[in-house]
Amino acid sequence: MFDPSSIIVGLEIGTSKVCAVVGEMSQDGSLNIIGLGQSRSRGVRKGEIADAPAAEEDVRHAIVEAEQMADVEIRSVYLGVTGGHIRGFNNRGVHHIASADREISEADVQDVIKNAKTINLPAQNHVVHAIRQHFLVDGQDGIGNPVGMLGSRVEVDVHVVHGNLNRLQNAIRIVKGLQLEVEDIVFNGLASSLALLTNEQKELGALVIDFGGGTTEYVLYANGIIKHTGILALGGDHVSNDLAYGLKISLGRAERLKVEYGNALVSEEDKGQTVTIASESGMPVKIVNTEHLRRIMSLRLEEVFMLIGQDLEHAGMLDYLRAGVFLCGGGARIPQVAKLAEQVFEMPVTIGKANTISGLKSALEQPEFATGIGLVKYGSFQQRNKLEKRKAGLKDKLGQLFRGDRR
Amino acid sequence: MNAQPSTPNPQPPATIPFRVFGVGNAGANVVEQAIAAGLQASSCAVLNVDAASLAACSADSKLTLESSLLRGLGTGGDPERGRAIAKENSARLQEMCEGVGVVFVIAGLGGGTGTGVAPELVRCAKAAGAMVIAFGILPFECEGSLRNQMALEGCHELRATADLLVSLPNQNALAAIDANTSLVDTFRNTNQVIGDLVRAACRFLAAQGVMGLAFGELCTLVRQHSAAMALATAEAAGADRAAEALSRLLQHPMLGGAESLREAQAVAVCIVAGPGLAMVEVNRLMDEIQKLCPGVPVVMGAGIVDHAGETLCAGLLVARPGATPAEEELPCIARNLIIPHPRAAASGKLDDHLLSAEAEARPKSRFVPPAPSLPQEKMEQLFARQTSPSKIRKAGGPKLRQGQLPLEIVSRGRFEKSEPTIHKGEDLDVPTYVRRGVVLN
Repeated sequence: MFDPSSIIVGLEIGTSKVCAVVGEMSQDGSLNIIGLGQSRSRGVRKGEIADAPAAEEDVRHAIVEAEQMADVEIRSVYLGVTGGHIRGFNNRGVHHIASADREISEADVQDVIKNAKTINLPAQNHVVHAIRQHFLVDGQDGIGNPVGMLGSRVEVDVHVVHGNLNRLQNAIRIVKGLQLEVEDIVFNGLASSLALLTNEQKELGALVIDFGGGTTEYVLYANGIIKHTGILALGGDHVSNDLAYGLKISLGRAERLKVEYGNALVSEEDKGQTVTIASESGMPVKIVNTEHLRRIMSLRLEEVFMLIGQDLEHAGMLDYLRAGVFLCGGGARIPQVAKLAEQVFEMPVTIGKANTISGLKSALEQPEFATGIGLVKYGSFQQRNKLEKRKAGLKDKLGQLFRGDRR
Repeated sequence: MNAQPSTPNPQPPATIPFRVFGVGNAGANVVEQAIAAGLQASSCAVLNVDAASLAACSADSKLTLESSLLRGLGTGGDPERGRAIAKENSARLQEMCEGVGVVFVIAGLGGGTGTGVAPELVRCAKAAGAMVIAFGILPFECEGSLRNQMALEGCHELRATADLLVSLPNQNALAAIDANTSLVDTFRNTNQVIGDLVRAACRFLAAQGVMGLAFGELCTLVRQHSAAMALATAEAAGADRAAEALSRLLQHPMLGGAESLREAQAVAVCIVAGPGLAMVEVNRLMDEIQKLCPGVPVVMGAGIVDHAGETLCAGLLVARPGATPAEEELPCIARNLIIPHPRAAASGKLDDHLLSAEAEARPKSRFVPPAPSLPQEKMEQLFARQTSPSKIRKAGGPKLRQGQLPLEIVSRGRFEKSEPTIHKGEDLDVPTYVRRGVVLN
């Protein structure tokens, strides 16, 4: 019944959970989320595979769950990648127009893009994305498509996201080991931003911060294009670890305390408040000061936001943000985290919702699933491009047939 | 602004209008310089632990702070010793401040005597009913972070006790010297600058107010806006004396450039001259200053001194953005704000300008680790334990305190086996509160 190409699956192997999102693309190109599978992740640290067999099992669980829910067979996935080794930077390609009439042709545009993508990277590095930004014709900025314009020199900026090939391969190998095809790898931060932002917000300038379990990715859009990406190998795990160290409790307990009593801000009422940790039998084991708990959390979260802020400030990007900051990932669930971020960035901060596509309401509302949904959306763009190419190819062939110039 | 007679000082009439106290070596040098430049020796007093340096000073009233605690040695750069000695002599200090209207306390912060004794002296003067204006001389940045840190702590303490603290960073004087200036000359220059400030402040006090507010009231008003204060004064004579005084004021090293006025919280202007002071002159001065700081509240006072002759003396008291008096309750926040303005040190460097402007834009989010602070009793207790003739070392000199390196090994817990997240040399896997030194009590 289903055309296999219309099913798009996004797989995110995160530090705290593995999540597979199944989307269906209808004939008219609209996207619908029909299934979701998730599993606790055990084999990942800071966004990278640390224990391959455990990770493989978790991925299988998530995929099976998603298959059951969507009632489809999953053959290929769009895989989200992350990790501290991933870097983003802007690169510029230049091309001189040789033709006598100085008109920029399609071929010139292809050439300049090729030039921009030629990047001098170490051999072990692999380019994950090379995203086209604006063209410049004779130094005139902000041109979307220069074909047909007159000029002597055309330039283009690309935003390049690259990472260590071996470390990227680790995740791909796990998926391949389950007899699944990897259609493409996608930087998690990019996927989240695709899920959260509307075109208008991208135009105005927005920052998406995906505060995950092991890593925090951030992507900045301005004038409709990606201007800056970054990744910090810091996340919810660090918050739990800080709590475990500071309150002298086990990691599991710290995790539970974080979820139940965590808060991004320390308020006056917290002073002197305590939480009693009970053992399985209900006996009180330890009394924890709520103020300390929240102070430890607050300092860590503030630091993460400040590191992002400093990076953006260094890149001179803070002034581009007119739509504000959007938070997603598990960290966005921490109470008052938006308020803390507002204090650091001094601009409106909202918890992002994946409201640009339709489907399972329960999945779209959750900030944790933004990456998975974004992966499906990325997949749908790719699929659409492929379809268009295929259609064009068919038309050409038919045309040839009728004209009779068979090869 | 209508001319009005000066409002009477709310404090009980004092027999001596003001007295200048120089505390420690730096304070004594400044007082010496001021006396040489024309300040009456009778209104000056000098306090020091070192009797020899006091003997060389020409101030009328001198007090050697002697104590069995020191055994003839100095404070050894330890403010706690200075404080304890001042406490011992507090009765005499208070006696010296008795019946004085305004007490000026000049101290070089960062050492033992200035940092320790000055806050005590301020307390005694307050107890005697005087208004206290403290001049805190901050060390050069090259004198080391420990000395600077101690100076900042002293600054904070003075700010909490005195009516007004004018901070005078020595670093600002660096802008005014060239490569050939010797060390001795540099200090002579800064002493002269500071001495001039003190003399001008005395003159403002002595003047009979004819317009606006008296100097004391100006100080109180400005203090309400911010407790970080800068003072600049200038003198000029001749036909164009108002314009000349203004240009000298704006170039004053302690002001840190005319642009700093723009960011001020409040500005007070004081103008003092002989009976020939013209309304046009006052008007021109105020006009120019108000143009320089649009949107900043400006208060002014003009006074007449009979013996001033042709000279016009103008002063600018600028409340720097920084701690409001309410914030003083939070030492960890206040402490990072009393750091002298870095702009003055590197005037003309655009980067510094931008950096500091940014730092002011969101001071709350910049966290500064609080220095360990001890309650007063605890400090005394520690000090007594250290200096009391103990059983172990009876004949030994003052005991040296040995510092301890923070060698606590923080386990990386969950991230023990993963690649560490290093950012600018900091291991971010270590809990933030540990790296920032936040104490969970």
